[in-house]
Amino acid sequence: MGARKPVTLGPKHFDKKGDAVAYLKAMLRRYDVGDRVNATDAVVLEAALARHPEAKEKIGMGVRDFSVRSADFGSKCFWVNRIDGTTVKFSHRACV
Amino acid sequence: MLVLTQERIHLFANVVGDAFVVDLLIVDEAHKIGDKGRGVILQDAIERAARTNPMMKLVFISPATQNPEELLADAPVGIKTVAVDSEAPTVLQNLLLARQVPGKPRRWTVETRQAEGTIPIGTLELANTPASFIKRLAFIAAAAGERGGTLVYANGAADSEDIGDLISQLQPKPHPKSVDPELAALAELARKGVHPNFRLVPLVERGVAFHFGNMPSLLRLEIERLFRSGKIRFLACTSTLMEGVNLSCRTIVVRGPRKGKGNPMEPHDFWNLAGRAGRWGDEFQGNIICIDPNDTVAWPKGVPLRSRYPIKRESDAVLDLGEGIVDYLAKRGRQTLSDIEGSEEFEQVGAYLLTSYMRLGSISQADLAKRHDPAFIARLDDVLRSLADQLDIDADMAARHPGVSALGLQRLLETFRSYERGPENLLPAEVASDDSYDRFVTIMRRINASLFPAFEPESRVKLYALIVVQWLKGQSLAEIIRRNIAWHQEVKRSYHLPTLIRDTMALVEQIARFRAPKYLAAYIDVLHLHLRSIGREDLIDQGLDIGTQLEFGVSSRTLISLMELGLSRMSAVALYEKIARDDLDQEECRAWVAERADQLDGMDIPAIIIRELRERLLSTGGAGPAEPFD
Repeated sequence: MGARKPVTLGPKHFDKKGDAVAYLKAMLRRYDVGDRVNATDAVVLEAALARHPEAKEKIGMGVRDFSVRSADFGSKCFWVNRIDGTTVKFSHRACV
Repeated sequence: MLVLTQERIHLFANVVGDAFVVDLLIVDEAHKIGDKGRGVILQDAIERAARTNPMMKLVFISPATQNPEELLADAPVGIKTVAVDSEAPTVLQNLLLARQVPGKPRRWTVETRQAEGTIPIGTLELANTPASFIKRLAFIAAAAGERGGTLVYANGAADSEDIGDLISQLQPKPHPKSVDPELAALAELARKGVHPNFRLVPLVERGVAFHFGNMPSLLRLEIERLFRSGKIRFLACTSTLMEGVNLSCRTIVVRGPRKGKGNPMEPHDFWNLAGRAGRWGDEFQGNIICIDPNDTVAWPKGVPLRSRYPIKRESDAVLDLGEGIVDYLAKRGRQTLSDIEGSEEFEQVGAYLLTSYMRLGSISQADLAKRHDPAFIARLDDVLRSLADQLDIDADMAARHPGVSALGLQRLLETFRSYERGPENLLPAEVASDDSYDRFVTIMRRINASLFPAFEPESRVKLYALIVVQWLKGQSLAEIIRRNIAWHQEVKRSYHLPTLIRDTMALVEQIARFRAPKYLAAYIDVLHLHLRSIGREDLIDQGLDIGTQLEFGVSSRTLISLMELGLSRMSAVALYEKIARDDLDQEECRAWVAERADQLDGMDIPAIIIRELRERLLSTGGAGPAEPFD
């Protein structure tokens, strides 16, 4: 039995990792492809992205906002839109 | 003068608003007011023009009509009307029947059908055995029409390619250096504008071509021009020929003609098609060759007799079916569209009736009421009232979107109202943005669910969205085809090049240029209504509307300017590839070309496009539109 690891994503606190993953997954599901993520969700997502193993590469010049777009095999995922106009997708699972 | 289809009259009227001023409206092929699905759109366009232009003169033209006065029945009271009934044939037409001699597959007898019977006129010896129906058409056309001016009617685009190919194999192969320069230029346009291996390329060098509606208009118009001039001697074509392409011929060859997807051609359409024979150059007679006239599969009702045919409005035809439309409308108010049967038959007329009801307050006030039973009209009024009571959409908005049901517009409005994630997400994203493709996917799904299942099946939505984005980005057809091939290769999916080319052309014409403008224009209109009602006018873009952008397949200022100057899209896109700036107005575009007038030939642009550039941008005469808005 591993110890419970609490996770904090911006204003949100989760008692264990699984709750954080479920929260992000539910957030992703609320959006249609092509949507911009709203400001409230973006705060949580930005905190999550900072925990990504490749956070530095993903953030690059800096985050402007987030989108939900198509991913491989007909699924969807979060994309970070950087201030320099470039964009890259990331896995919310990798962030927690 | 503008030449427009019924859909584009509406689009035009929407864009110009109060400036929709018409002095004279000429409705050619007016019997098409009876066409399923589009007849009522035509009727609506005529009525709309008449409503906003009380002084307008209106002329209907239709061949071989039994009851031309029917078209005048809805003229406003006090307006002078006259039906001109003319029987005078302008050309002599020989109806020829070609039958295979039993036991001699290559030998065919030809007879002419007269009022009193048939008269044998000779036999045709084919060079090869016509093993398939396609071969019969091709070989008989090649044998009987070698003088040129020969049209072959094909049941579909794929057949037209096969027939053209077979005929071309029977023509002598020209020495590469002796190919006529105009034919060589057409081959070049097909190669660079579509694909290096497009089947048209080798055919035209032998004076043979095929022709169908989904081809880019510049290519189609050049084929028609070279057929008229006699350089293309054989042309295999489809029912597009009856949809407003005015092309005369010396001989037309037909076997079991179908219209659309396999429906036997109505006699009216057959004689409209046959009417192309004659008036070839300065000749006054033409031949119609009907192959296998006794074959009941090819000709289920025999070769149609020449006679006159009645005109009936689509709306009247649907109302004459009785309670079907009432039941449909009642269900349309309760259920989602995909659960209702008969949407193909009733949706367009139902939308027209509801819009009329909203404008007039009762169908009994509509012109068509006088042709139907008052009790039936009262039942129709009842069901329409219950529908109209559900609507926040007003009559003006409904009228702007003919063929789109106000009920669908209402459902969409409700979808917008219950949307919770910020109204910005409801708008299409600029095509240059990364969100654009995905946003269109979601919008198309939303349209399918609320407005009308225009982009079904669901498995095709992503493909449709991709085509729309490529088209709006101003990509050339050749580039869209190239990318489609690359995608097939990347995912290791097999493909058949001629089919892929035809399918891509069809996607551009049917989705990007027809469905997407129709339904996205309605989507945006309803969205703007919603944005105004929630105080978010700031999100409303005052730029060029999405319907017009899609019609022309352009989103940059430079491309729009080039097309405003009268260039076809194909030419505008080819030129735009050479122009760096995307914000040029018309004068700046003209100046760009004028500065480079001497270098145009060295730019690797097809000669036919260069010719159009010179005609439209460098000549001092008035530059009209390069193509009818077909």
